[in-house]
Amino acid sequence: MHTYKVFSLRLSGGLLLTALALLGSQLRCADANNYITEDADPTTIGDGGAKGDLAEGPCFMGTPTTELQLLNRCTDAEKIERGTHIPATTWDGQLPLPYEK
Amino acid sequence: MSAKHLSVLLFVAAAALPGRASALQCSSLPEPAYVIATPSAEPMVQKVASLLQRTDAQRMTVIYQIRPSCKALEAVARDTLPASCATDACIRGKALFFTLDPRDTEPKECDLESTGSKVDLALSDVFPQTCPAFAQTAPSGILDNPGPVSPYSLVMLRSATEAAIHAEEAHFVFGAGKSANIKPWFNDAVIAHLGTQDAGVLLVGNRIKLASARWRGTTVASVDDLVSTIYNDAEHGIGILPTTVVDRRRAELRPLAFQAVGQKGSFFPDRRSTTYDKQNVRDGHYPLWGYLHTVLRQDPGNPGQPLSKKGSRLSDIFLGKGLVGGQDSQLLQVQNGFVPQCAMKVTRTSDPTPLSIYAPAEPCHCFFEHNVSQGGNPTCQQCPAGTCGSGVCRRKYCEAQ
Repeated sequence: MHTYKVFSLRLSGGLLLTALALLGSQLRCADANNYITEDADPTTIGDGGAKGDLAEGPCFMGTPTTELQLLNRCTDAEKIERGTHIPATTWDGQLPLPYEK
Repeated sequence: MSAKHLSVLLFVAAAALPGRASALQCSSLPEPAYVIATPSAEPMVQKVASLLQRTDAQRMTVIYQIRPSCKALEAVARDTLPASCATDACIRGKALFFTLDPRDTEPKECDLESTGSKVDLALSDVFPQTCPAFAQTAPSGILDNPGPVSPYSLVMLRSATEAAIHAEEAHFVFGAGKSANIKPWFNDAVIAHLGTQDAGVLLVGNRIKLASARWRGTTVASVDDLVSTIYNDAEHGIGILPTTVVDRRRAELRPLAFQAVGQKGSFFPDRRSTTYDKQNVRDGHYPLWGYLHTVLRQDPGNPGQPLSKKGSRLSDIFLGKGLVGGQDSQLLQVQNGFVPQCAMKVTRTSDPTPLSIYAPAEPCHCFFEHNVSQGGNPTCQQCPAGTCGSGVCRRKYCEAQ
């Protein structure tokens, strides 16, 4: 009975710690609602740190052969990430853009 | 009294006149050389003009106008008549020059020929084909030399709170204005640019997919006018300027980070908003730039050579070759905000073509990083004695090769 009680207390404590960790991570995301510099961005990794291709990760770490790979190559530079300010009523997000030609 | 003595006398008299109130004929100045230059080049033009006038062994009076890149190109490309100036060729009106007196920190003004003064050298931040006038047919009879890289930025006032802009947002801001309803750019009167002959509009236009005929907002005549315009509404004002100018005015201007189409995140031209290293320009994270081109007329009798000897010397200086007034002209490029091609890791073959990897034959990354404002790369070694443990000693720095 005593063993069961100790186990139960430990389980509750573990669950509480997990819940607190999850809550903390959510608050951190909420704080970063506007833009995140790379210094504070846990998902952006400097040169040599990221894994995988552009489609898989936050930055490209191979030898770039296209402009898109150059633009998204892993870097130690300051980066600002924020959502678009274009209202959905102005543009649906589909290319081509309206004033291209 | 000889004509030369008379011109020197007039020149000294001009130097004594206050401010820019002179009605002096530019052609009366000793050894005149006529330059028309894009706004990005103004700081370097002023420095070179001052050195050539006051310090250099082969003195020259650089007489210059600051105009949009395509106007500068046309002034040379349209100059096809040997003894007169065709329409849109040459420069007219007033121009600027530096006097012999080193106490004159500001240039003086002089009058160009009423029929037009032929241009020895044009400085443009775009390839000729980028200009609307030459989009269909490339100009003939000119020498076009792409030189150092000239970055551009979208700018707001320092007091503004926005830090970045996406290419798609800029497309709507400059293509539709306030009707696009994009925060915080709600005021058409302070969405400012230098017009569709300006390299900033053309280079940014390529990247935000905005055709030159589609630009809205307020067209202004000069860099100072653009800054004054955005001051009218500090929270909403936005413009496009070369970083050679913006970097000197960072106390009042805020370069915005830019997110290209398909890019994940926005980047400044520099590694950080507070540095001057142009890291993102150099490695391909920031695509808003052009090459500073020197453009000269060809010698019809020897088409590989420039027609103007003075233009040829000036071209070499702006391309970073040789000395001017005892100073390394490549160092002048760096000190005036340009990035020599030897410090680049990406290249492009025309303004609209995509970036590709570039490895200069004689790199100068350490030289560049040391000489930019607040520069210094701890991994770079100096080589005052001319030898390096590894790599090659060039301009007193050990470069990788």
